[in-house]
Parts: sequence; structure tokens; C-alpha cells
Amino acid sequence: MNRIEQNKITIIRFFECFTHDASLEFQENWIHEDVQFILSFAHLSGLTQVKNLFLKERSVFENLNYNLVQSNIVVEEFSGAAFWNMTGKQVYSWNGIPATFNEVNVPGASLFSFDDNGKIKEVRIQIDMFSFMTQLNAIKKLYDF
Amino acid sequence: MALSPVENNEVCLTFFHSAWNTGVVLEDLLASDAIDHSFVGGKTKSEPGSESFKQIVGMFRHAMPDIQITILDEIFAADKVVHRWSLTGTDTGGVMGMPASGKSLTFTGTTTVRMNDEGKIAERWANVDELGLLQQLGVVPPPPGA
Repeated sequence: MNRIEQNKITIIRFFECFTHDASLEFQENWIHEDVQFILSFAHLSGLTQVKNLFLKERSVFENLNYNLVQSNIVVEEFSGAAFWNMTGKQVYSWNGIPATFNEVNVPGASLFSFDDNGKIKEVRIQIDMFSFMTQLNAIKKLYDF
Repeated sequence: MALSPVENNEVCLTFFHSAWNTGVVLEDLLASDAIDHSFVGGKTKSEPGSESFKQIVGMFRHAMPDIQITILDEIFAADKVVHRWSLTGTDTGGVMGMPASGKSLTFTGTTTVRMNDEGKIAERWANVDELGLLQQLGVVPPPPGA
């Protein structure tokens, strides 16, 4: 298997970690210990924080799934991008937003950087936060636009 | 004839720099059956042709005449090109029909493009941090503690 094929599999594996029954063992084999996970509202540093994120998201969103289409994964030797739709039902509080029991369906993109050994060293997430917050009843508009 | 991934990226860079930095949408770089997918106001829109993209660019350039795009990441392989970008400009004309704030605004997003076999842009998917933009405009309050 060449490096690019391996990166693609690593990206798919990364998103599988958000599903409730996926194993979180041996992640250090394919995620760098000092991985940086960057969102518009948070910056996580290190594998432990990322593992905790997987566990937290799984518990907050029932049946959490990142729907990936293989053709929407673009991979180079040291970088990659994937486009997805996140779906799930919010059953616990998330970042101060009480459980709504709403089903969410939010599009987003993730950009990955890989180190020389093919481990993920950085993930940048671009999620449609406006849509996400609207679906969680968390947007309070000061006036209509 | 299909272009190489590097050439595909160059076409996209030319197209987006021209559109955002000068307001000129280079239609000759678009396929005749191009489709534009965008997420606006929490809704997904898919429209044929260049009108949808022209409308988005026109609206932002009217609101922020000095708007400039900066490409932060470029990833390209086979027929796909992915850009992570930021747009920065001064809100002198009013964004999305709101009063001009006079603020310098910056917002980020990603764009994915599928190129066709003739080296033209066939599909565009955009994902924009609209919430971040609306928070800068004061339409949506920032999160607690921000």
C-alpha cells in the first residue's frame, strides 16, 4: 500500500472513532502524540485531549456518525481533506447547551496534516456552526437578517 | 484533455483570486454545466451556472469593496482541489442587508472544486464560518467567556 492510500485509510479510521462502538486502542500508532485539533471554538492539544473529545461527542450525540463519501476524500503525501455530514441526536449537554433531543445534520470539512511516519499531526475542522447552533436551538439572533 | 492536479489548482487559484480580489468571475474557467453548492443561512443550496457564485461575490464585494482572499491551505489530487481560505475586508456597505458596521471583518472557510476533463471548474462546494462572521457583526452574541 502506498503512502497516499494509507493516508486515506487513516482519515476514514479517524472518523470511525466518533461512532459509539469503535475501538480507541492503539491510536498512538496513527495519531501523533502531540496532535493539534483546531476548531473555530476550541483548540485541543495532544492525543489524550483528542481521545476525550471522541468519548465526549459519542456520549452527547446518540448514534453519532460522520457520513463520508470516498470520492470526497482528497489526499496528498503529507495532507488530506475530507467532506462529511455529521448526524446524531443530542441527548446530553454540549458546551453549555442543554440536551435538546434534536436530531442534527451538519455539513463540514476536515483538513489533515501527516508527519513523516504517516501519523496525523494536525486536524482543522470547518463546521457549519451557524446551522449546528440553529439545530441545537442555541442561536439567539438580535435581529432578523 | 484533463489537466494535472497542479494545473487544476492553478486554475482554481486564478479563478478565486480574480473573483474575490477584483470582482471578475472568469466564466471561461467554468464548465457550461457547472454546479455551485453552498450553505447559506443554515440551508444547502445547489444551483447551476455562475449566477449563484456571482451573487455571493457581488454581495460581499458591495459590502466590503477592499475584500481580499488569502489561501491558507491547498490540497489537490486527481480531479479535486481543496482550499482553506480567509476573506478580510472593511464593512463599508453592509453585509447581508445589514447596516454598514465600519468594522474590519475576517471569516474563514473551505472550498472544494471538482474539475472536468476539459480543465474547467465543474462543481464547487463551499463551507463558510457564517457564525463567526455574524458574531463579528454583532448579530449573534459571542459565546459566554469569549
